[in-house]
Amino acid sequence: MNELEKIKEALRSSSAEKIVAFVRKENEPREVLAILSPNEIDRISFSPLSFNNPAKLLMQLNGKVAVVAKGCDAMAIKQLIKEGKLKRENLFIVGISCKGVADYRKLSKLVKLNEVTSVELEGDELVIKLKNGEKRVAFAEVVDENCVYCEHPTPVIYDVLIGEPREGKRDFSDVEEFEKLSREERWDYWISQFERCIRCHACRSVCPLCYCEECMVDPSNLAISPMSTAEDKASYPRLLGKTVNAKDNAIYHILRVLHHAGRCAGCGECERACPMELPLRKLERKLEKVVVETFGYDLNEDIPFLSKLDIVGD
Amino acid sequence: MENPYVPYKAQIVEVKDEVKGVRPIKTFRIKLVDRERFDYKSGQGCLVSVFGRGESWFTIANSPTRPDLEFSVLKTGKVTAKLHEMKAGDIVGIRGPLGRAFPLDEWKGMNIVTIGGGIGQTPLRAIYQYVIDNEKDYGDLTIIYGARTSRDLVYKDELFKLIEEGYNVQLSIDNPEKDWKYFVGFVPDNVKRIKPDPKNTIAITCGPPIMIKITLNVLKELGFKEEQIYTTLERRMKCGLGKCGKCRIESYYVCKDGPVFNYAELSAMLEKV
Amino acid sequence: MIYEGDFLRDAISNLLAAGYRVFAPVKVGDFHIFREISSANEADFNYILPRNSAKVALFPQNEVLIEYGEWIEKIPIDKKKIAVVGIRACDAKAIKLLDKHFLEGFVDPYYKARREELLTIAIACDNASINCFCQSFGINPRKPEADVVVSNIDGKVFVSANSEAGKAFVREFKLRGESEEESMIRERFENEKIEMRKIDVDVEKLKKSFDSPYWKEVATNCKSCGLCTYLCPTCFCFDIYDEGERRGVRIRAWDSCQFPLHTLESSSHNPRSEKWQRLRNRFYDKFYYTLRKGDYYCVGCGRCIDYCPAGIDIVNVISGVR
Repeated sequence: MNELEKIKEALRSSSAEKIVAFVRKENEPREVLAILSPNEIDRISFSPLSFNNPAKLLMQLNGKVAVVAKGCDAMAIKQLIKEGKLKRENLFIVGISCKGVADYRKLSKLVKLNEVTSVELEGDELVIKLKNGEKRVAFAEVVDENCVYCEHPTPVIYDVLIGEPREGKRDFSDVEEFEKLSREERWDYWISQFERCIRCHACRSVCPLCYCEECMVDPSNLAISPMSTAEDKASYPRLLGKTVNAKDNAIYHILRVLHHAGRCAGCGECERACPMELPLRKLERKLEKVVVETFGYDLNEDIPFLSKLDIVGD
Repeated sequence: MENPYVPYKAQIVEVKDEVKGVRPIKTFRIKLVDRERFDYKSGQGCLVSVFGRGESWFTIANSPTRPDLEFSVLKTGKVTAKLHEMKAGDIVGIRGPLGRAFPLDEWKGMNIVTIGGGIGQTPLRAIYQYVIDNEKDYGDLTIIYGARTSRDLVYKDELFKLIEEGYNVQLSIDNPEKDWKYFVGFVPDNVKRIKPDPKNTIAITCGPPIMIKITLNVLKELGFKEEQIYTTLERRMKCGLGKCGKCRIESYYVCKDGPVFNYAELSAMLEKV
Repeated sequence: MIYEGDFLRDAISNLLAAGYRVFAPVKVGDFHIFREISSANEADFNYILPRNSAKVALFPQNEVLIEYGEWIEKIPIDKKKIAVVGIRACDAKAIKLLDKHFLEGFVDPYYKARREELLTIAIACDNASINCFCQSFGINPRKPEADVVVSNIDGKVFVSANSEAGKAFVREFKLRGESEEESMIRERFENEKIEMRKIDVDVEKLKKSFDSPYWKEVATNCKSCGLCTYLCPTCFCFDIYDEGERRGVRIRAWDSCQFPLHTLESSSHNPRSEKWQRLRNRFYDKFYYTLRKGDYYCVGCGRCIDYCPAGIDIVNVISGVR
């Protein structure tokens, strides 16, 4: 039985009313997430291009939900459970021991995407099946850079595990390389990156851990009610306006990343979503390094999350 | 307006407390500085500008037959909180007149019924003041207005004076109070009691959404057709010119094609309001 | 007409020397972004479509409307000479759609100041990218509606001027006439249809499907991130803010109908509080509501399909309305 068949079998064994899994996108060789009912299990697909993170979608569903989760997805789910946003008993997690996902942008430079019918991992080669013929390329050439430093390729939480458990690694060598640069060099680098940012907030919108209704970047509070007084609304702290320039953008990104210290699951959705290809994972990884080295805290530890980030309740 | 984004300089002449309490309402009478008041029609509004805070849309609360510009402001957010701190002599900006007015010219010779709730009475005041000042051009005028309590009624003194002068003003409050000699109950129930005749009549209703919904049903039961019922819509507004997209419903910009709409237009919309 | 040389680069040099602000595609990493340049060698024209659109030149992300202190101190509208070089047919059509929005009804003076002296130099497309569908809207990718059009055919640089401003501009260049054979090659190039996707807009079906549960399904993955609106060449929603309590600026900034804050009222009522309502609103605005202005407000550039993090595909969504 191949991987996809095992996933479907595992899902069939659950009593969930809804399933969050990957289905093939029309017109492109990748998968997107979908909410399916148990009789739609045959629509499910899975490949090295199933890179989206289902954790955010889980937060909008009630009742028992089955979900297909890779290593980083499971980490995000675990963190959300710790923070009280998801209930463990409502989830049936089919964990996939992940060998990494392919970087869609790198792939689009090797082949014309609308000629690709499917991609598969065979050993350490990515087999790209085209409309006529196929192309093989070393997976290391197209793998998402994020996956190279993955600490938890085997899901840390699951009901059924598909695939053999794999060892992750803790490797901050990329961060250490960057830290060797001088302060001026690092500042210049980041300011030139932030100059491109258009403050679309896609990074915030796709991140499963950015769920606050009162976000410090918004100019007004989304979490108001008919009982909110005029004084509350007038005195809502505005850390940032809508002016878009490198320094304001830097404030936005640094503050956002600071709120993820010790929480970021490393799924890379932020960097994938960014239309200007900002190296957001680099910032997050620096914080991961700080948290590990300074506080000795491992994201996988089962310490209950002591304070909630959003004050407006579940 | 040469640059429609730039407000005229205006000065507050008088501030009147209409409703006190946790959600206060004040009426501001404002005069333009260095220029004549612009021409406008009942139902149009202005964006009142408080530099440093922003702008807020208010329907002009007085008819063009009366002097100056009056706005009734409910304290609810950033801009209105600052306005409520202001007194006579303070400077604000005015951008206007904006929006589509009530078609009072088309209504000549017809009977007018205004049905208001709470602060929704504001655009209706611009209508009935105009009708009163042009009495011979219109038929019967009926003013139906109610609020939760007698302390929540706006334009109280003016309305009591109109009753004394013999106008058909029907007030109501939700619950009984000592010394209240008028109807007790919700505004739609008052409408049911009064039974305005739909023949050759236009009804305009403004107020909280739930009140409008029930009033609409009552009016339809009484025989009013959708084209005879008008209302004003509310949306978050920023540019006031039909450009920024905030107040857009369907292909209509509430700030430019509204806020006055009649029910036939609203029913034809895909997006239900 | 034919130019012997690199017309685009020489045009940029001329424009900069004449005091124009020039916007052109710049290569950043592996992709291109449209931005202001200060020298001709910053521009790079090896792309199908830059990631953002030419609207940044006419309708910048931030624009100061009023500078205030006690009262208004300055209204920064100066006439500007702007040139956009290297746009494609889709972006050129988008400029016309934006004109309809900003210049009809109340004339937007900030837009007008940039638009009046705008010079557009477009490049005809050779091929389509995987998500282009401009031909569905009657746009000919080989004949952009711009002041000057540059086509690279068979190694030769063809230049045509389609407006008074364009003709005045190309007069400064040494252009030679086309031979009969060259004219035939050009005409064949211009009339050839490029292979690309196609969108099926059924307005009647859209009208009937407003309340269909289809829209909730489509919006499953939508994160309301607003990327589609920021990269779209015809999206124009904006917000106006005062920054600075006692002295400051009133600025307008891009906003998105996909953000929940866009329509949130002070009373806390939000007419489009659910993301499927906002997503549905965007599709209807592009293909149904704007028919009142006379056009679909989509030019088929495909940016929203390429970059949507949730994988929502406007062609599939509209063609599959039920």
